[in-house]
Amino acid sequence: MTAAPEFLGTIPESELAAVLSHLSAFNPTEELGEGVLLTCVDGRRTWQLASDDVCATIRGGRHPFTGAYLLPGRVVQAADRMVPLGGECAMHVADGGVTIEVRETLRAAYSLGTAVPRLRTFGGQAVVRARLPFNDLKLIASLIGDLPMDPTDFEEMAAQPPYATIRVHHGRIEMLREWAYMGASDVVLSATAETDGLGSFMVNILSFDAHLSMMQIDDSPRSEVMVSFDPGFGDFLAVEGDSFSLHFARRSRGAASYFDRLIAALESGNIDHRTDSEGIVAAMYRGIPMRLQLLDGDGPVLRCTATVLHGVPPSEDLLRELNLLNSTRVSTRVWLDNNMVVVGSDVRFDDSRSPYPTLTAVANEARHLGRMLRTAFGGTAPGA
Amino acid sequence: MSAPRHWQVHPITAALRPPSEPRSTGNDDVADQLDRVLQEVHSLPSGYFAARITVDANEAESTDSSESAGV
Repeated sequence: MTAAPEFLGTIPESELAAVLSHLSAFNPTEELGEGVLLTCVDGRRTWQLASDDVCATIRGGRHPFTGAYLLPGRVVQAADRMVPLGGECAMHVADGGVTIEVRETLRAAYSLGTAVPRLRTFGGQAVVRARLPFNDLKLIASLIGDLPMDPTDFEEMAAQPPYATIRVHHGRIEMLREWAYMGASDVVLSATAETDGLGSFMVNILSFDAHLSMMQIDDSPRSEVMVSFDPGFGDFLAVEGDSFSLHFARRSRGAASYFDRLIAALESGNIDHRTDSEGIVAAMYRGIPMRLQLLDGDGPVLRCTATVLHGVPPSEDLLRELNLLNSTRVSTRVWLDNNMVVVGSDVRFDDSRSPYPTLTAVANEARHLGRMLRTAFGGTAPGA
Repeated sequence: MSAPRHWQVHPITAALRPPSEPRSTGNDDVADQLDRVLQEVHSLPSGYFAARITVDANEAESTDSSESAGV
């Protein structure tokens, strides 16, 4: 069945230029069917590009239509080149293709992208806000992106991801980037802003700088933008102007950056679990309730513990027994903590590591040690 | 006096996500057990070393002053 042709409107050169200014930072892969999403939201043509780090939404002119289409990036490039300065083009979709027409003399036709077009929406997470001139934000984003001069060890420099902290407080917006790990100067840049709330948020500063430095919003040098985020639980920091919004994904450094990976691993294994607001995870593994916590130190560490006895006061006999057990364990340890006997194991946690060998080791120890120690030293089993 | 680098271990503290409901099969007993795990109070790695270093520093200072006083 052939879908009905749809007219996407008469698109001015300025709108095409605005979309084009984001395109190079995304580079949607045409061979994979990727492209620029074009749809209609609240009666306005709405363009969207997305990657893992950022989602750019550009609001165009008013023109109602019903579909959502993925245009290969070349369509936007072609339209921008075909349309003269201050001109416009007409755009239609029909039969899985898109056509651009300029002054009824030039015409270009392309196939639509084959990936499923999905408009991403964001909402309800702004707690901290800062309003400031776009050019001020663009300038400090550009400066915070600068590398230390003449680095001697690029491997050392790349040891830390290119993340910066954006902080809003008391009439200023600040960007902080650490370089002390390689002996260079940490950097703090700030600009005055109308602020509401206090908080900070970490983003990939290379993406942030790339998008702000390339984009065109309008001709006024004092156009303002709003930066907003939820410092506690927000997934995205938003930068919004009249005709666009950029949403940058939250980034974390060190062990915190592996939190989502840990949760994904538990979910892929169908492990019952829940988290608290401090990043502690409780998981039920092979019938043993466990506590998982990510630790920062020389490297990211996953600490996996199971409490095998509650209400056991310290005694010389118990501590001697635990010491003997520790001297004979491999990889797992057992200790007394706040009158709880705890079995645990710490493991370096990174991209290559699964939590399951550690969970298995702790579960096996917990199952046997709990029963054995309760017989000799009393206390209550978890859940008793 | 600060702890050696390999002692400087601390848990992630950023509130990364809102507290989650149990991703569970709907078993109330499992949910209760997971709740209890989250309510347990465990010692933090960094807490012990911070306290230990303070004690060591105080003892060293006390010993130094005793020696200098000829005690």
